[in-house]
Amino acid sequence: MGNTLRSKWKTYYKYWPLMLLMLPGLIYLFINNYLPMLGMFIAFKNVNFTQGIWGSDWVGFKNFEYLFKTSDAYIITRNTILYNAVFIVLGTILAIIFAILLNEVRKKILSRFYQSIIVLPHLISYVVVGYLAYAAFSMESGFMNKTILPLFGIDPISWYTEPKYWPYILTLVNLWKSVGFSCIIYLASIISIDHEYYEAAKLDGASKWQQIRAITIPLITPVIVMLTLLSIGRIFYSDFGLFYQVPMNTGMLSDATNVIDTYVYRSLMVMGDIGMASAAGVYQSIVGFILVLSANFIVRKINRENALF
Amino acid sequence: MKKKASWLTMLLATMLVLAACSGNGANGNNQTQETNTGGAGEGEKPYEIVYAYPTFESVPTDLQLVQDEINKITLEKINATVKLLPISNSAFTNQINLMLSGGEKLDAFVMLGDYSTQISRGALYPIGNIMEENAQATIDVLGENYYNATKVDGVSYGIPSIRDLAQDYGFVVRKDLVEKHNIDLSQVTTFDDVEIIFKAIKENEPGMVGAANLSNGSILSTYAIHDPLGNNLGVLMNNGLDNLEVVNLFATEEYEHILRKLREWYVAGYLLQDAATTPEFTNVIVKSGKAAGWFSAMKPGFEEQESRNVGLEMVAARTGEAVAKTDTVTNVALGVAAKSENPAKTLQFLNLLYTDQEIINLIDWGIEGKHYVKVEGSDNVIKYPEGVTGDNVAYKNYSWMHGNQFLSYVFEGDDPEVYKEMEQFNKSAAASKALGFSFNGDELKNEIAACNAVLEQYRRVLESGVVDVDKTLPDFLKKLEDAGINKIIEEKQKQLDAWAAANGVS
Amino acid sequence: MALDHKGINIVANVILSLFAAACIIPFCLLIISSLSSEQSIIQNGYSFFPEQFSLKAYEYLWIHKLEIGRAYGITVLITVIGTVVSLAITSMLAYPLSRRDMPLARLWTFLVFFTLLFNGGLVPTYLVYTQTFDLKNTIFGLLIPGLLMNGFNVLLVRTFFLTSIPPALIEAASIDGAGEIKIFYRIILPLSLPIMATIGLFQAIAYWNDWFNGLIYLTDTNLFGIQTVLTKMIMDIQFLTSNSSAAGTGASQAIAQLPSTSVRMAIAAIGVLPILIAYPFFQKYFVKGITIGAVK
Repeated sequence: MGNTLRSKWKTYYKYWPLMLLMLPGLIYLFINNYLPMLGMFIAFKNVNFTQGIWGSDWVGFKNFEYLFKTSDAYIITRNTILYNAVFIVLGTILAIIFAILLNEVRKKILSRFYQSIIVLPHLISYVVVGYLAYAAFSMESGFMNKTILPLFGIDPISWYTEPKYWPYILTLVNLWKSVGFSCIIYLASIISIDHEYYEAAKLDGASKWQQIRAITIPLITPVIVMLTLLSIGRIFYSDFGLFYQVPMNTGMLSDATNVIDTYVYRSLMVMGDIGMASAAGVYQSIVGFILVLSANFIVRKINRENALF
Repeated sequence: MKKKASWLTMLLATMLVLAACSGNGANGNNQTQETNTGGAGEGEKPYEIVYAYPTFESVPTDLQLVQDEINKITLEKINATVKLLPISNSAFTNQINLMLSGGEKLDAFVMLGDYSTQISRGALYPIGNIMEENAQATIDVLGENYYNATKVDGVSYGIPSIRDLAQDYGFVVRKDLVEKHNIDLSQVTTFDDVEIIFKAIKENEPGMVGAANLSNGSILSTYAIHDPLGNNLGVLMNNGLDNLEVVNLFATEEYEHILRKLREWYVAGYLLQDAATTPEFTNVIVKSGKAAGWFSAMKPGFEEQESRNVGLEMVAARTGEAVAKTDTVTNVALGVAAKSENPAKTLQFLNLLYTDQEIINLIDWGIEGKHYVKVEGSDNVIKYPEGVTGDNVAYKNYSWMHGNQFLSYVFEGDDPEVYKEMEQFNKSAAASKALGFSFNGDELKNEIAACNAVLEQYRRVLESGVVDVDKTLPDFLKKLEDAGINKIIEEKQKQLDAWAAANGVS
Repeated sequence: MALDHKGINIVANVILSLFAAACIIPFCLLIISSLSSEQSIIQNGYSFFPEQFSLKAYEYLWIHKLEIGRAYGITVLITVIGTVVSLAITSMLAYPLSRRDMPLARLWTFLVFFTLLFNGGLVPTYLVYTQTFDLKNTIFGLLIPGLLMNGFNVLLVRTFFLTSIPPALIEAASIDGAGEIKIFYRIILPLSLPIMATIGLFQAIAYWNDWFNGLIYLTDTNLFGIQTVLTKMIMDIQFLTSNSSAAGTGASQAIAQLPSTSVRMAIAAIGVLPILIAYPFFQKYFVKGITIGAVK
């Protein structure tokens, strides 16, 4: 026992420079993330400032009840998961395609131009995106109704009262806003692939397509897996701005646009109850955690190397 | 394995220590608050009162100067100094909650519409218990009636600022259009009558509709036919003038009638087609000539105020008498923080905001000669000094927020008598039978949250006329029921009956 | 079907220029609306060809030039310092996590990952930063909470190290007598410029776009960064115009003249432009074709 401990200590000692490197980051995570995490108990309290947060009454799971009280609970959960699933799948595929294409553009200046332009949407807040979408879909003055539909001889559509169009609109807006950004991540991985691989493939007479399939994709798989796993962990969260600002908070569209985050916002915007808001966060985190553990487990079964932990 | 365990233990230990530290910080102020009482004792160290209020612009550059002037007076009168803490309105509620949960120094703060929420959170000191000793004068200027409206279970937790404490309701419209098309506004005395205006506009002004919606809200955002009793979930009809029967507003005939009327108007093209979604502001829509007016809650001086906002002269037709409700009274209120170290002293300062004209005008308008000058021949009308405009004045504030507005100067252009009229308005306004009743929804938080989500979802579309009432109203009512509105109404009725019995109201 | 180099180059250009157009057209609409007169926006909606141009929105912002100028300064400072520090601690944490021989690497990785799923929420975070560390109303309130290092970036960089740096390289350097820290900054970092540029860009954007910390940790508006100032401006305009009675007399005259619709767009435009100007700086490091062999 003592012996193994000593030999273990020796290996640790050998790695002290690496430990040192990690130290600032770990300290930050400890302060910024782990200390506040202790505050999750607020979700189980009826916060009262006179008693102080720590002295407030425990209420068990009472703060969670409103999440399931509504007859829309099913729709909200379904929307949240389905939208996220679609975003993950389409977003990943498109981002990879764009990254590969970007890597194939031979004119440096064009490639740089594309790179700058495609992150533009990421820089615009959803409030403004909401206005821009409104410019497109407004009943009276939107250019969809004014310009595009007349071109095809279609009657104007009342976009903001017809839920059926919104799954497509929201998906489109989400992809528009996020694909450029994730594409940059994949691009960074692709340009770091050792050129010798491609040279060798070329000598063997491999076509471009074969090179992409046999070299590029396998070599960026760890990044794909990681990003997907992270998104799965957040599958119960949704981008509030996308689902609230872009449809202009219209009640008529709620079947297609109501997700957990918008429901929580609408429920609590008047009351602003800290405990109940916290409860929603805890609920979302725990579901995400369970999902991501399972996903990671599966990945690990297939390829230990690619698993996150 | 052993190594791993020890790492984790260490981590946990550190966490607990740090957590304990921050815990102490939050609780630290508990003991001191009860011992201190007011009174400017000789040689006693002046107490510093931190007074937080929302601001809608940048923090004024001359804040410190004004604060120093105020402190000269407060030091002499109540042996205290004041630290003005303007916080951007966009972050105000958040910041107040965070400051309170962190036990940061905060003595008094302004509440915009969240008086009852703050009470149920325990954020406020029950000032009713020490009111008579420290701020009797405030009760006197406010009037027993309105003071009582702030009481919850017999104790007051805050003081409404003295401004328009009642509201009447009606339709405000561009004056030039009324004159041009000979619209007789005296004919407009009910909600339905507004159609007279709409018709004239529709027939004579192509490209213009009758009514705009309110910014980010429905056509009826502030127009009311009921006493909301805190949250619109269970209300008294006819603005609470008739009886104490709590009903579901959305299921009443009156409400359905209004919705059908709106729908009719919408189909007839009297309302904005985009009313449920447009992100534009009401005054901008009217200024641009896209709509003629809008429904609104009103008060004396309302027309002048809106004329300025729109940039065109506006006139109003009122469709009901002025009524005071608990909600209209507590809409803007000042309170003492629960954790204030010296609530008595803080209350004495608030008392000055209701009685001391010098302090009120310092906080509202700044320093005379520097931030404003009196208009010649008048002792209560002011204007900006030479070379100073609304854009570059170094001190700005809001008179409706800080205590007694009726002691504040009137800015040039407003009716010099406006506050006298408002005082008269407050005195003569009818009172809802439930004026003074506050609903405590603590036990039904989940139902209220779920119902609020439903209201958010349906009210704007229904109250803008954009959807078919026959199809959507039943859905709306069904969802409200599922979310538990009947439970809330039942509980509210119970509390209201108990309150009425205790206060001799029938 | 064998796509040759030329072919795929053309396909790439066509597809990418379509997507780029989709990205830039709405942005142009934003700029044009900020230059449109309010009248034409309300009457005809946002349009690429407004009936009437107007500089009113920018004139309104010009009134606030001192505030906006100072806020720009603070944001630039925060963004530069924040990005540099963040790059340092992120890569320093990610590298050991990527080492297959590092003891407990999986546990640490898990701890990093865990922070992405669970958080204590606003109130506990605020309490930690204001009670345990006195960050309220200091510039550190903008720099540190929530932004300084992000678990996502750590995992991204770790994965990058894991896949693009051959362990043999580290071994070789180690045999040559280089210490761990020297290996890190002499070999690993130079090989990782693309990913460093990527997360540097992410961090810079995160700092540049952050308005929340300002509204939470600051009451002193003199320390506000640009996005906080702009966000506050939009929210205040919104509040004042929808609660007209709230505005003081002097203020409401200003509101009547305020081109609120175009100001929103102008604010978005001046918030975005600087980061576009800074973008080429990061792009410089997106260099293709570093080969491991060249470093060896």
